[in-house]
Amino acid sequence: MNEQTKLRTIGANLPRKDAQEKVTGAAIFTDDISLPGMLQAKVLRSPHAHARVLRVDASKAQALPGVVAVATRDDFDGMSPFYGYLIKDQAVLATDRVRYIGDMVAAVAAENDATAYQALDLIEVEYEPLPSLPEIATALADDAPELFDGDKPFGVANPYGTGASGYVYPRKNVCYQFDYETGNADAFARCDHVFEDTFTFSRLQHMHLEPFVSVARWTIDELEIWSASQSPFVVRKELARVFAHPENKIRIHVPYIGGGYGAKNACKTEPLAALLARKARRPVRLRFTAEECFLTNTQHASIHRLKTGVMQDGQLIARKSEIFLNSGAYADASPLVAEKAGYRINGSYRWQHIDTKCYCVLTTTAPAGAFRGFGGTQAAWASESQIDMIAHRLGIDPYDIRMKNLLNLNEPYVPAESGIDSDLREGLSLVADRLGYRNRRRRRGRGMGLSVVVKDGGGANKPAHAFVKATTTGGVIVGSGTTEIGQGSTTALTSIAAEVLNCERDRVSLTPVDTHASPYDQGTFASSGVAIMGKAIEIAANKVKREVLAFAAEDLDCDPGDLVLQDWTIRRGNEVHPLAPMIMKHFGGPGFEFVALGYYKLPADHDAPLETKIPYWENGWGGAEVEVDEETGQIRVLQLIISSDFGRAINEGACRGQDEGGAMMGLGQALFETMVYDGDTLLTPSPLHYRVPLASDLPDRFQSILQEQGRGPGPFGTKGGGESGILTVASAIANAVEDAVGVRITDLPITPEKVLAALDRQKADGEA
Amino acid sequence: MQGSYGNIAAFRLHRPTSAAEACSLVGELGDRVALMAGGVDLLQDLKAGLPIEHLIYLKAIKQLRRIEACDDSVRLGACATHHDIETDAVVAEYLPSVAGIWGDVANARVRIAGTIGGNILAGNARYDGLPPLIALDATAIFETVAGTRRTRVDEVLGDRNAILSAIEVPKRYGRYFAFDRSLKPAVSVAVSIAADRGKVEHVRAGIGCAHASPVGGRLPIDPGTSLETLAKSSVELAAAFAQSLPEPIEDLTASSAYRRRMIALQLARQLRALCEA
Amino acid sequence: MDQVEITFLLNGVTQRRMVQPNRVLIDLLRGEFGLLGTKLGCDQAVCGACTVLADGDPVAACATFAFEIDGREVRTIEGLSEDKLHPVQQAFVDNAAFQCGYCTPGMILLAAALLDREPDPDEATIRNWLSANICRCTGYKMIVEAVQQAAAAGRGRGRAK
Repeated sequence: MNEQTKLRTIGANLPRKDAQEKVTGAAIFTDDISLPGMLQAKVLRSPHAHARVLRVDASKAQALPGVVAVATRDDFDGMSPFYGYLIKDQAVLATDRVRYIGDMVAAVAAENDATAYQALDLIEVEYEPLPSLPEIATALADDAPELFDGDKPFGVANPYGTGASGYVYPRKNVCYQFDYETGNADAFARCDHVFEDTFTFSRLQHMHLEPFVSVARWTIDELEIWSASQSPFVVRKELARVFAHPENKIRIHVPYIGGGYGAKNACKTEPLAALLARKARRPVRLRFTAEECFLTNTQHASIHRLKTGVMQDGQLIARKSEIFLNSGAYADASPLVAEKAGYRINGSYRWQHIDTKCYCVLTTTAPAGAFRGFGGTQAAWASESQIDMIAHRLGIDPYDIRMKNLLNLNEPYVPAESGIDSDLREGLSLVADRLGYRNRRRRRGRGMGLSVVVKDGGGANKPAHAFVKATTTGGVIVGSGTTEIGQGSTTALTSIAAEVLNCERDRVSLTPVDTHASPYDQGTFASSGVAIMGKAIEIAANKVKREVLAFAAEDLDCDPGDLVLQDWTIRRGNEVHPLAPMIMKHFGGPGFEFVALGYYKLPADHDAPLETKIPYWENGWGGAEVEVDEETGQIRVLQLIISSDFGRAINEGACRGQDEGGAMMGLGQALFETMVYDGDTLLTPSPLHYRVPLASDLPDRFQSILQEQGRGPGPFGTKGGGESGILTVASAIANAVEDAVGVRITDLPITPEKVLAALDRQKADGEA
Repeated sequence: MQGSYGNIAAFRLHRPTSAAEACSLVGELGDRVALMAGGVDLLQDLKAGLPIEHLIYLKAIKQLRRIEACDDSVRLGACATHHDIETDAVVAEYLPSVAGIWGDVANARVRIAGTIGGNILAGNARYDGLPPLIALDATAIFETVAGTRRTRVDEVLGDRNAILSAIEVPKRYGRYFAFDRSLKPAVSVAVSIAADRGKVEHVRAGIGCAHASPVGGRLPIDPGTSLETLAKSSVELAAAFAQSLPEPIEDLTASSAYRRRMIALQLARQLRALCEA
Repeated sequence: MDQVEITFLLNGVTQRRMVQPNRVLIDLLRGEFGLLGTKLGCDQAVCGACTVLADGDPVAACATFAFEIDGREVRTIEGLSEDKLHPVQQAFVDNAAFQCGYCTPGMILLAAALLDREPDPDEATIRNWLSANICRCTGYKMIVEAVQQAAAAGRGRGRAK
C-alpha cells in the first residue's frame, strides 16, 4: 500500500452525510411525496406467459365511481409507446401481445387503492394463448415460436473497437449477441489439456425494500415526475420521445432512493404514470407492490459453456466461451449485460486466445436487467469455479494457479485495453492470510476456497457534469445528477468538494436531483459515482478555487500562487484575510457566488474493445471456509473474508458497507436465494416466498478488508467499489466445498440436497 | 395477488369478551366472517381481497390467552402468543425444553403478534407450531355453541363455527423435547420422549415442511426400554418411522426422497441427543 | 361501516380518534399524523421496514389495525429521541449501520426494543432478534456492531424511552 498524505476530509471517516436524516426518519423518499388531488394507480397484468391480446375493454372500469382514468393500448395516439435501452421493445401497455405472466395490459387511476382494484376486475381482456418459452432451451429450440415476429423492434448495437462486436436480433429469440475475440484459435492445439465445463447461474430479484414508485402530474405545459429512478435524465429522454413532448418541458425529481442495485435504471413506472396523469388531469401515484417488483426486473440467470486450454504446469492459454443469458421477455438492459458477461468471462488472467459469444435469449419470464455485478457476477461464478477445477485436475494448489496466471499491475486486461490498476497478487495474499489458507491443517469435511475477480469499472464512454457554487460566506453547493441509492454518493461527492476547497464538509450541500436544475448524468450505475462524477466535481471545485484565488490576488495585489484558501479565508504567509468582507467590498452588500461547471469523460478510443479504455478496475478478492455435514449436505460457512481495492477510501464506513452488503447478497445467491420458475409460474413471487439473507445468516466470522492501493483515477486516487463485494462469494464457497469433500457443484444455489447427491455419486464411484 | 393494505374490505368489528360470546357471534353473523387473533395470516388474505363483512377480534379475550397448569398438562390459550409461551413461568416449569425452543420460532415480531392458535389453524406446512405440538401429543380444544370438543392437534375440525380455545400439552413430554429446523424448507423434525427414571414410555415425532400439512405420531417402542437402548436403535427406529409416513412432497425446494431421508436422519440424531443429555 | 373510537399515546402524547375498523396502523401514522418516518416496504409484514413499537413491542404497522392500538402506547422513529439522539440512533450514525435508509427507522426501533428487554445481549441474541427485519444494503454486520455499541453506551443508564 502506498504512503498517502493525510487529507482533511478524505479518509477522515466522518459520519455519513445523510446519517441524521436517515436515523431520525426525516429522509424523504418518493413514497413520501403527496400532491393535492393525487390518485392511486393499479395495473392489470397478463395471466398468460404468451398470448395475443385480442380485445381490451376498460369501459366498465371507467364507469366505476371513484375511477378517474383508465389507460389501455387505445390511448397511444400521438405517442411512440415503445421504450428500452438499446432496443425499444417494451410498450407502455401491451399492444398486440403479452410476453410473460405479469406483462402490463391496462391500468386505472382512482381515488383509492380499493376502488382501483375493483376497477381492474371490471376490465375485460380477451387473450389467445400462444406457446410459452419458459426456458433458454425452449426459446432456442428449432420449433420455438418467435417472441418478436414480423418487424423487429427498433434497436442499435453499440459501436465496438478491437476484438468486440455486437448484433441486434442475430437469431430467433435472441435479442442481442456480444462477441469478443483475441489471439488465434490454434492456441488450443498447443495446450496440454483442454477442459470443457458448463456452469449454470441462478436468478435473483433485487428486492429493494422501496418498490418502483413514481408520482406524475401534468401542468399546463409540463410533465413533472417524482421517481425513485437511478437514471432520471435517461427517463426524461425516453418520455420525451414516447410522448412527443420536448425534454425542456419534462422535469424529474429524485428524492432518496430506498435501494436500487441496478433495478431502478431506465423507464419502469414513469411512462405509465405519466399516461394516467395526462388522462386523469390529476397527479397520479403508481407504486408497484413487492410482487409487482418481482415481475418488473431481475438479475440474469445464465448458462456458461467454457472450453479452457491449459499447460501441464497450470499456465492458462486459451478460452472459448458460449454464454446464454436468460433475458426474460424484453431486452431491458440485456444487451449491456451481455457485453459485460462476455467481456468479463476471462476473469483476472492472462490469455493468449479468447473467443467469446454471449447471447441474450428471450424467454416468457420477467425481464432481466441491470443487477449489481452486471454480467460480472455470472462470469465470476463460471470462471473462478473452473480455475479451481482445473487446479485440482492438474494437482496444483488453487492459490498457486492463480498466482501464476493473474494479470500483473498495469498489464492490459486484453490487447488495446487499459491496464489493471490493482496488484492482484497482493490482494489475494492478503485474503488468503486472513483466512488462514496457507499451511492450514487439512481435514475431510472442512475446506477453504478462494476467488479473485476483476471487473471493468466506471462505465464506458460515460460523461459527467457537475457544478460547484461558493456563496459569499463560504457555503458550498454542489450540483450533480448522481442519485443517492444508499451507496454513499452524498457523502463522497460533498467530501471531494470540501477537500478541494479546504473547508468543513458540513459547509457543503448537494442540490436535490432535478433534471431541470442538476447537471446531466447518464445514471447511477457502473460504480461510476466517485471515479467519474467525483472527477467532474473535483474539476469544478478546482475552477472555483482558482477563481477565488484570482479574485483575492487582485484585491491583495499579489500573485495567486502566494495565496492559500482555507475555511473561506485567504492566507498569505501569516496574514489571514476573510473572504466575505472582500467579496462584499467588491460586489456590494448582497454579495456574490462563485460558480463553475466541471466536465469529465475519458476520451473515446476506437481501438479499445469497448470504444474507450476502461477508467479503472473494480477488483474483488474473496475467501471462504466451510464445513460440510456429509449426511445432510448442509454447508456451514465458518468464515467469509472479502476485500476490495477502493484506491483510496473517502469514507471507510461507506466503503465497508458496500462491500459487506454486496457479499451478503452473494452469500444468499450461493446458498439459498433464487427466483424459482416452474414452467411459466413464478413460485417465489414476493418477499413472503423469496428467502433473502437475514442477520441470522451471517457467517461465524465475516470480515471485509478495505484495501487502499492508491491507484484510482478518481480524485485523490479513489476508485469505485459498489459491485466488487458480490462477485467472489459464490465461487469461493463452491471452491471451499470442493476442498472440503471433493465434490463440485456447478449450478446455484448450492443446496444441501445437491451436495448430498454429489456425495452419493462420489461414494458410488469410489465403490465402483 | 398480493394486494395492499388499502384493499382490505370494510367490515364491522366485534370484540367479544369471552369464548362463549365469540361462539354465538360466529353462529349469528353468517358467511362473511373472519376470526382474528394475531392477524398474521388473516391480514395477508384481507389485503389480497378476502371479502368479509364482519371481523371477530379474539386476541383481547383474557380467557383465550391464559396459560395454566392442569393436573397432567399445560393448557395454552389459543390466543397466547409465541412470546407468551416462551416467557411464561408455567411453561418454564413443566415444559422447560418447549420454552427454550419457542423463543426461536419465526422471528421476534411474529413471536409477539402471532398466536399458537392462529399458527396451527393457518394450515401452513412450513409453520413451526404444529410439528412440535404433534410430537408433544397435544390436544386441541374447541368451543362450540353445543359445548366443548377435543381433537388431536393435527386433526382438522370440520365445524366452521367452532372456536379454537386452547391447546393442551401433556407434561410428560416436557423434559425431552427437541426441534430441528435447520433444513427448512425441506423438512423440520420435532421429537419428544416421555420417560420415567430412565425408562422410556413414549416416543413421538412431528414432521413439518414435508407434506401438505405436518404429520407425525408415535414411534413403536416397547415401554420400559432404557434411554440407552433407544439411542442405540435410533437409526432403525427413525428409518422405520420415516418409511411409515405418507410420501413426502416433491417440489422445487427438495425432492421427496431427500425429505424422507432427512426425516430419518434428523429424527435419529435428535433421539440420540435427547437420550444422551 | 361503524367507526371505532381509539385512545392511545403516540410518541408520548395522548391522541383520540375515530377510525374505520379496517384502517391499518401505518396509514393512520402516515396519513393522519403525517409521521412519514415509518416506511411501507413489502406490505406483507415480512421486511419489517414499517416496524413501530406498541407498548415497547416491535410490530409491523402494515399488518396491525388501528383499533388494535386502543389503550396502548405507540412509538415511531420520530418519537425515539427528543433533543439528542437515542443511543441506538447515535450508534447507527457512528457505525454507518445504514445505507439507503429505508429499513433504518424500523431496524432502529427493533434494536431499541431488544435493548429495553435485554440491556446486555450477546451477539447470537442480537443476530437472532435482528433477523426479524430485512436489510438489503448493509449485510447486517455493521448493524450488529451498532447495537453492541448502543448496549455498551446504555449500560448503567435508565431506559431511554
